[in-house]
Amino acid sequence: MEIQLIVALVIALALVFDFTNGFHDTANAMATPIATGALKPKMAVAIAAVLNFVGAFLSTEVAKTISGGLIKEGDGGIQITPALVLAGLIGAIVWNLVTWLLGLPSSSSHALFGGLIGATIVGAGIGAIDGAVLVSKILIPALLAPLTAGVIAFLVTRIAFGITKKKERDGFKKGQIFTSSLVSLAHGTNDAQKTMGVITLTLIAAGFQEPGDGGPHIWVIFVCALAIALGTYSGGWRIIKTLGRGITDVEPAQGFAAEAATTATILASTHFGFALSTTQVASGSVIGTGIGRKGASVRWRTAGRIALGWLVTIPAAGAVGAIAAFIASFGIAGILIDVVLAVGTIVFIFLWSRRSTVDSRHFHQPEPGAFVRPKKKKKGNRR
Amino acid sequence: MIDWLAFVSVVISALVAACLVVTLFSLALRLGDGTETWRKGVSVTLFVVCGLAVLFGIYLIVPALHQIA
Repeated sequence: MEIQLIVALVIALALVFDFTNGFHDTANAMATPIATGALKPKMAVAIAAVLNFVGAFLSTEVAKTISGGLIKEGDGGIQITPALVLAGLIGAIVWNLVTWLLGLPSSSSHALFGGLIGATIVGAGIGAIDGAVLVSKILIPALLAPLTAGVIAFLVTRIAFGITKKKERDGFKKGQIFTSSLVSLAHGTNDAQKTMGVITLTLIAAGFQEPGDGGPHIWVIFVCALAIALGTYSGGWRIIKTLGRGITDVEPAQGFAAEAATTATILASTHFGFALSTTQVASGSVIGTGIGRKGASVRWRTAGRIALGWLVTIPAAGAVGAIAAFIASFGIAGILIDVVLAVGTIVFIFLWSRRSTVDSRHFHQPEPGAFVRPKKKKKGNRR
Repeated sequence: MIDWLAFVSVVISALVAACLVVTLFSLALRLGDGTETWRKGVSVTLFVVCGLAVLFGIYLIVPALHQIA
């Protein structure tokens, strides 16, 4: 009975995490098309939601070890228990909500890793964490991702502005629809997998699924796809505002250039197996395109806040995960206290966010030409 | 521990791909602006090439397309 309850709680929390993952990352694909008016806000999140849902079904190849070797598992290592996964998920969810409240685009994967690391340290000691893997798989890529995307976005912004004339640049809006859709699809194929991996790991650990069963059950794929799509549709408007308006003012040509850089970098990183965070790539692209356009200015204070958020993500999610793991170590009562605290925190952050709502209406744009072009004066009957 | 070769591959391929697509799309917009008939044709052709790039992107995203089972 006890194990069923824990597994059910882990699945529920994993889906909550999946939901926060969706609304946290809508901005990566859709902040720039919304900012330039290439897509209406509601339309943009609807497209992103559908593509995330579809994307979740596209890849059958599951990340068997979602920890990616970070936590020493198997022989001579430690057994990560469902209670630790639960604690890790709480850390990830709480940190995702805090960064959302602050409007910071931070990596959901890092939040998940951080939460799991924190929980594992409390549950199994610091020795269970592979420091070298932490540096090479997370810290160094976190520097390289925005740098790479930023340089590429800078160059292609220069190209786009060099070739086209001012009156032609509205055409880039059509291109933006395609590039941002590709980012959304790629996001769906990658990110819903993480939650599927967590749920499948838990099912295996609890003995509800054979280890060699080959990937997640179809119902797991379906609920994960649904959760990430709903999260995406609800739109993390605060983060969209930061990425689309906060860092720099994005014009259609810049939006297209930034998304082309983001898409190319993400697809290349997946193809060559050098994992880069989508959030960090997308943020780097926006900064790069801000530097690339003459006369545009980058608000470095905002960029600095975002970078600080990235630095803090793993330790902060880890701290919450560690506290949750400590409480969970008191058995089933501890786990229930954990869940109650987590739900309380979620409700509190939600209520706090109502003090200043940011939603799709903040991105209203006048129809192009509605105010810009004054009516031509009639000069007699000359044609 | 860092797979620098993979990273360099990522940078080069992403750089080339992004520059190519943005150049083609920009040229397509630039040429689509004129009145001469040849410009229209070239412009449409360039848009089609950009469309092919999008299809290649989908090919890369969907594992079933590039992994022979």
